[in-house]
Amino acid sequence: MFTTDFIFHKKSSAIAGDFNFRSIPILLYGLAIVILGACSPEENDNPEPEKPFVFELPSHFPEPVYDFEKNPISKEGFELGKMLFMDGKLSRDGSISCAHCHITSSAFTQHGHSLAHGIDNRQTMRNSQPIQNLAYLNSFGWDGGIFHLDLFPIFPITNPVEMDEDVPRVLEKLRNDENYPRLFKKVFGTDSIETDHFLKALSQFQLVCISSNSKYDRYLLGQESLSDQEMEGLAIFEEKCSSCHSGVLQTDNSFRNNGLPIGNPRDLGRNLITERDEDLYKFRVPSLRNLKYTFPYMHDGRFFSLESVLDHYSDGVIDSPTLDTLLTGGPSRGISLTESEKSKIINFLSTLNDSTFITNEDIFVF
Amino acid sequence: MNFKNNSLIGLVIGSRQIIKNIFIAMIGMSMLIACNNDDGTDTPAPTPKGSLRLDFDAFAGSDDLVMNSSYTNASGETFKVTMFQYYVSNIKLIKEDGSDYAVPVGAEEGYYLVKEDRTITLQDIPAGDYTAIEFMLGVDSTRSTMDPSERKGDLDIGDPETGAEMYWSWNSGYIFMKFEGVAEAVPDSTEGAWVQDSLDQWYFDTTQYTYWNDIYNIHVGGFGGYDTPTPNNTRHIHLHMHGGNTIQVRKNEEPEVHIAVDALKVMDGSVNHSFAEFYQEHSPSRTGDIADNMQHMFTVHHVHN
Ligand code: HEC
Ligand code: HEC
Repeated sequence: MFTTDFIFHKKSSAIAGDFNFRSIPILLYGLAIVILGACSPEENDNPEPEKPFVFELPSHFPEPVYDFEKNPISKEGFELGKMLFMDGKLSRDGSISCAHCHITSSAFTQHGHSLAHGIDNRQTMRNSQPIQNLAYLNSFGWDGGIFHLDLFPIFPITNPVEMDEDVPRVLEKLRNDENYPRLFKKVFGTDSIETDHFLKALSQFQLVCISSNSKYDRYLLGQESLSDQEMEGLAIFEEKCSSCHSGVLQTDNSFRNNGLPIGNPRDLGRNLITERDEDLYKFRVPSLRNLKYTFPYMHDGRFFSLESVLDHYSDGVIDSPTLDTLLTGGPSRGISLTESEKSKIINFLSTLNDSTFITNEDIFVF
Repeated sequence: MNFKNNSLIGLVIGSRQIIKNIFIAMIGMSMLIACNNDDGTDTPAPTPKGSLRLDFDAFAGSDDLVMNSSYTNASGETFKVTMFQYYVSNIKLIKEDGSDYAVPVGAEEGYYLVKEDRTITLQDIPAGDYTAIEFMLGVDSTRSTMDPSERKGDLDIGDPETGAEMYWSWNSGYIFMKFEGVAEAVPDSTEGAWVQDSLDQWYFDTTQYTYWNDIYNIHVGGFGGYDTPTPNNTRHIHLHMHGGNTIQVRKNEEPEVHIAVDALKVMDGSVNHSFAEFYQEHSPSRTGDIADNMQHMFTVHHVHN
């Protein structure tokens, strides 16, 4: 059991209800929610009282994979993580922060790039992925090569085409900074800035980036109904897409080949990690939340619209030894979809957009 | 780490997990015994403890390995070595009667990066005469999959001298062994070049069409995979003392065990690798026989008691 106060402060002037974390059966995770009564002196001077600001996991989401007991979220930890996420010090020349490729307004992807661009405008091999609902993933990156969120930052930091830095030098820069040692001490009790504290602070920020306030979520919670078009789209989606894009997060977290023509021949997908032939050109099934903001689509950002994605599933699926069997079962390769079914699916997918997520000032990074 | 994945790891490495658990239980028991002894009333006299130094001396055949000097491999290629380092862990000291003492492993201890000018000092070893040493070459899967707060000391990914140099960021896991240098036999590249950036980091630049600069980087790693079984390139090494020699651990003494490590055996062994075909190796599936070769590179040279 841990008793971190999962509380943040938020000005009550902010629009009530725009904070999008739903409550969970708290006991399930053994989180004790403490309502902070006292504010710091400056805040007391403020005529508007602070609204307590609670981090809760959405009640309709599955059990998180991330072990919060090993890294209890605190307001200070979250804020430190956010500061690190926006800090160019994590890169060789100070120019590239995590937020360079993960922009809140694009649901934390790099707007306008198929393949993310890093330091000196060098091009990476893949499309930037959204930072959303990461507590529910059991591997990270399109190929799942990184098995713990805490370990993820090492990859962009050391990648010569992303931040081109190394972890010891980042730690050195933070230790020599006038603010960081104090901020780390507040969260981790020591100002020595250990590797694990640095990584866990970044995780705290990223874990708080939960998107769970789409129309579809409100529908699931019985708070709003879907239109007829959207309901029909949902039914088609459940029949034709949800064997891979399953559950409330639209992913079964597996690696599959959905029949894209091979783009970059060097990008072997999951095979780069497992080196097994059966994993060639397989990529992690992505969540389909916030597609309005995350385009372009697929691991290499090849499609700029959902129409193109659906045309791929109906007419573009390429045969190969690792093509998923769910796409070979029908009368012809791929998924049979009429034009009207496609537009209904797109109607449904739009209910997965969560505008409160990308405008939430608490997690806004740039 | 989480429960779902834990159980998956459990499936993959079940037997090791059991061994590990027994091992932890043993450490626990030995700690209990130590505690009992500390109150020193009517319990038997405490087992005296001593320390021990392990000196891994890099050799090239029968001579000391000298960085940047020329050697020849079994394929007749000359090469120079610029880096040779590896992890040693899960060390066990064994007595004639088969009983053993396992050096504890934990967040801060039990994993050692062996490189030039570094010796391993083991503390608090029960006094006695030991006739064999066992250790793992590499980092076990249990530790490899723990969260970063459980990997400090030489496994600290932020330590410039150790962990930071020995980690695959894109395919989470430690590099167990790095063998790097130059060899003329390394073919010229037609599709890009290894170049150094302003911070002397090597990276492969596909926009440059120069040469490999004769560079070879042989990196062995792979702990067996997190949720998909992949090659496990950890290896167990068992070294027996020759000619009735023993390591005599005593209170207030520090015996030194000199282990000769023949770097030429990295490339030459049951499989002789040629730098013409084997020079940029960063994948667990291609380096298993290097790990096999390495099993044979250790011998006890001598012991100072
Ligand atoms: C140069 C652009 C770039 C920068 C800078 C960058 N990322 Fe990323 N990020 C990407 C790309 C591209 C991917 C997909 C990686 C892959 O599959 O190889 C990604 C994926 C991720 C993921 C995986 C998400 C998932 O769903 O699996 C996380 C987490 C992440 N980044 C966090 C960070 C953090 C933390 C930083 C800063 C330390 C950072 N990124 C810096 C481009 C970037
Ligand atoms: C066989 C499993 C499978 C099925 C069935 C499937 N998908 Fe996918 N989907 C994937 C995989 C795998 C990817 C990622 C592929 C890649 O990037 O290489 C993906 C990617 C996508 C993307 C891009 C998301 C992004 O963030 O880039 C969209 C949109 C999408 N699928 C929608 C659908 C729809 C709609 C259906 C039903 C008509 C569907 N998928 C059926 C496996 C599947």
